[in-house]
Amino acid sequence: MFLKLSARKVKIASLGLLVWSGIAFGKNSNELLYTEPFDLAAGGTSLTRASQEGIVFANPALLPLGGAWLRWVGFQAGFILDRDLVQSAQSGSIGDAAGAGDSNFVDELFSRSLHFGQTATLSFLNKNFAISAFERLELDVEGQRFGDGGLPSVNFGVEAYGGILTSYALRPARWISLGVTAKRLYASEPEIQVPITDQSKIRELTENTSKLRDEISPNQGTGSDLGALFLLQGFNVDLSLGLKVEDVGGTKFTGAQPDFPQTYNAGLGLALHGTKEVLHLSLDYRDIGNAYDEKTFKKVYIGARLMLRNMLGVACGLYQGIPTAGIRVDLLLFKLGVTAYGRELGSFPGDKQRNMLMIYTSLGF
Amino acid sequence: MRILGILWIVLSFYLTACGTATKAKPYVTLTSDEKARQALDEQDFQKAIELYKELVEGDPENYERYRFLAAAYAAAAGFDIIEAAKSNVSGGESGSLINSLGQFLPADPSADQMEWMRLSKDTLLSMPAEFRSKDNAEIDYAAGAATQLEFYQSSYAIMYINQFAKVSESGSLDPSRLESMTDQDVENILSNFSQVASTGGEGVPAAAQAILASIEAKEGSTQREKLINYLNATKKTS
Repeated sequence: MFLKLSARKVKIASLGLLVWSGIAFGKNSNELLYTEPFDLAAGGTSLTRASQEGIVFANPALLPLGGAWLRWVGFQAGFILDRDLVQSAQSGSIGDAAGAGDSNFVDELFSRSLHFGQTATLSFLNKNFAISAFERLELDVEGQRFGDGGLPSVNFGVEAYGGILTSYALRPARWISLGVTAKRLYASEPEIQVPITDQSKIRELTENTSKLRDEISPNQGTGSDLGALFLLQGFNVDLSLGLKVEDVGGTKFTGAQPDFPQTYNAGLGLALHGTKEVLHLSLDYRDIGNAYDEKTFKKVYIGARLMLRNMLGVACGLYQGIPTAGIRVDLLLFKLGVTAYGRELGSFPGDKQRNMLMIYTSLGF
Repeated sequence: MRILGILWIVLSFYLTACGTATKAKPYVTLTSDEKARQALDEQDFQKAIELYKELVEGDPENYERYRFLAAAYAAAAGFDIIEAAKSNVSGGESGSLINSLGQFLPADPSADQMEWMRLSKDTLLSMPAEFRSKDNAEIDYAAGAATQLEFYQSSYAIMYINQFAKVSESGSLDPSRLESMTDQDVENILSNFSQVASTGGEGVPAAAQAILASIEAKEGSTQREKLINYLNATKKTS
């Protein structure tokens, strides 16, 4: 329903007012390509603790931790909904606009953003080896009153990633674990700004649609990550330090996709545990060398996870300063969870904040 | 279903407790461009004008900022770019431009609003011509700047007219206001429409050309008489 409505709004705006301006590319943030949804609920912290397949993406050195030889085998799927849109739909404002003609659609388009997407993974992880295939697609649509240098524009942002990752890890001593990940990635990140400008660019878009198709085609790249985990384990308290070099030497892509630069990342973790309950507090600082040229707030992730009897998990945190929360229930082969979180797609707090709700499920053990 | 219900209740508690507002604001210093952009997005136009003026003065050859400064001036004057985009401007009827933009422009503009509208067009006119041209594909924002200038210059001319052609509730123009219009005022109005029309093309330039043609076709021995006759005919029926 929401997707259908969104598509209709976009279509009207495109036909009625707007023309093509240009495409920009580039992963412009230190965020992981994929973060497991329960880890997202814990503020996206994952360098010292990660859930299920999230280990492969977060820090491969986490693999040898845990009691069981088999860490996770299964499938996970998640659907991302725009939290603000859901609330608007519940209050009826979108529905009212839908029945009131194109003018209201335009007003709505320039007063809110739309963000939705999906993720899926298929993974096998044991104490030393892991392989995971994943895909993640997110679409962002935002009308900006002064977007195109003072003229209105509608910005379409796509984040499309997929690929296969394999990790190997070992624990040469009780206090240290080391891991490496090799990854074959597909990435496409077009950002399309459609302003009210000249007719010639409308013709360029409408008469040569293959240009758009070419621009959003996935680009391939191969890269690797290195991870380390230092662990001090006590009877009820664990302290951990996670280090990771991501995209070692830079991950290069085919096509117009810019390289992913090499980044250095560090995280601290404190776990308080009883026999069946664990409270894990964590702080990650990503991209220490500022390869992505971002403000400090976008590099800080803070989270807390509470696992109760290995069945129920609740988490909360701050993802780049934006509150997150979530809950997950584990029922043998079947897991179900909801995560509320936010992302800052702009350069400063509140610039292009998106608030999302992810509903996810996984099947595996 | 019970599990889903419990999930939902607990999550609702979390969502209510945490909210969505970013907690990072107090710890972040914005650049001058970000501050100016934030003011513009929040529609604090006076602050945006102040900040963009400082930026333009500090780096006069960064012409993209001129567009934002002009947009802030225009918005402060009462120009609503979304309403302009929604209006159906065509070149077929001489009154279409005045009626379309006139729907949201101030009907009785203040001196400040006139000054801000003038500054919006003059800011863009102070850019080198190649940076505000629809024919310059090498500069990304040149076509957008040209479009802005069309809107702002037309709006300035219409607001200038509105100073003299106020329609009363009875639907007639105030003759004393019309009589106060000088030849210099007429020249100012016509030259702005002429500059817009001279850029050529569909939409606003064609509509401006239609206005000029209609004025020229009116009876009168001077441009002033022709314009007054045109306004009497157009404004009464608008």
